[in-house]
Amino acid sequence: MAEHVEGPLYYETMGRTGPVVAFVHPNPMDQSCWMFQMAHLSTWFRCIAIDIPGYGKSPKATKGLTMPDIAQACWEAIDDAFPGESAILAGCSTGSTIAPHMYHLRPEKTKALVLCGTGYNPRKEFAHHRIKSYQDRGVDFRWDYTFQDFSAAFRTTPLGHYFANMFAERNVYADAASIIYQFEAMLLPEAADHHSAIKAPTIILSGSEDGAHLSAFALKDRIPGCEMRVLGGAGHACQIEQPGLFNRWMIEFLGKHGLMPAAAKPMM
Amino acid sequence: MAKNIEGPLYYEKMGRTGPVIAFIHPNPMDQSCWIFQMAHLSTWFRCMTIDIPGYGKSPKAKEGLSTIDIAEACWEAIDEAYPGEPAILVGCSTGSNIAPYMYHLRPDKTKALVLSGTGYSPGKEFATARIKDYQTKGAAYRWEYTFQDFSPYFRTTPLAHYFANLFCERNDFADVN
Repeated sequence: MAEHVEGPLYYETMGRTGPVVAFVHPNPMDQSCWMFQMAHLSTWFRCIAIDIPGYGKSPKATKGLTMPDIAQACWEAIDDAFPGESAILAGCSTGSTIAPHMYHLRPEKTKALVLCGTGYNPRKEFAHHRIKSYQDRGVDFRWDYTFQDFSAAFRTTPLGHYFANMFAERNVYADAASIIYQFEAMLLPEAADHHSAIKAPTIILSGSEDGAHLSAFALKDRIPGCEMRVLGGAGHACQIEQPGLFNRWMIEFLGKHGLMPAAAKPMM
Repeated sequence: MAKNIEGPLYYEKMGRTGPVIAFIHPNPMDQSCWIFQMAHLSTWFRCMTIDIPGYGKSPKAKEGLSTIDIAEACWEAIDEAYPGEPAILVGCSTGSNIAPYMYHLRPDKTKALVLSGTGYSPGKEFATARIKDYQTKGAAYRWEYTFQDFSPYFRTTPLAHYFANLFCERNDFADVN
């Protein structure tokens, strides 16, 4: 069992055949933020979307939590759903921070990394602000924080509110302390070769309206062979705002690296 | 086993606790049309979405298929996913046509009906036109038909195209008959 996590993580699966794709969500969302990818990619893949500790319906974390602890717990969820399988790892924001840690735990089981809502930000100033907001406001902060993950245009839509309400309606299961521990874990130093040692095919899908967008180019330069596509007009959670384009580029990337099942005929 | 269907229906599940809700899709879509409801309601319910015969990844139907056969096959899918459980039944269009048949098969197991995209149309004139379109265009007709299920405004959105493409990418599994 992963350390500093009070039990197995909650997950949902979709799809019955094909390789495994595991999705890891951003703060302050939960696994449901991947619904468009789960529905679409389950045509060809067995998909799993995981709630990290303190979010959705996953158990709490305890003080001292590290990113490798979360990464280990995510692998344990994959093991539970699909024993012994390797996986393509997809992350957004916090999920994109966890995914490289998952890679380093099991490089031989990691077929590819699909990262979004991310960039290279070694000082992680944002984490201190997030910790203070959760300390002051508790899990209720998740509702307005969800809108900060969207572009200005998407914030105004009924769909933006659908997602914010859904995440916040699960606050009875959420735990602010666990979320704070996760941000504290993010502030711990990473190995010098944390990015440069990644050998799996990697792509960054970055929304042009994402606050992290400019730093995404620096992250791309740090990961050997990393590819990048920009979703014009999309915010931090670009997988929600532009699912058709996001999925198309994810499928194109997986196809290019021989990771689409042979019989797949996606409309490109 | 339900008559005139070549095997168990395909379904997806979401949620681990609470009462059961079963969702039945419209023509020309498949179970993925319910992703918003599955994701949200799985907070409190065990949800399942079923592909009816010939759609999504469900097996084919045979000549002589009745709506009662489909209703029976849907209950068999619910039995497989959640043995012995009653269910709230949710339908859209064709799904709303199937749901009352499911009720009549198991009134004691039906907790509620939530119907959308439906109305009272005893002559069902629309069916003749749909049969002709499928005979002429095959499963590829599903793409443009999807847009007919949307409002003029929604047809223009990237999200509408996301759904139309998703349904049609499964046409290799679909069966026009």
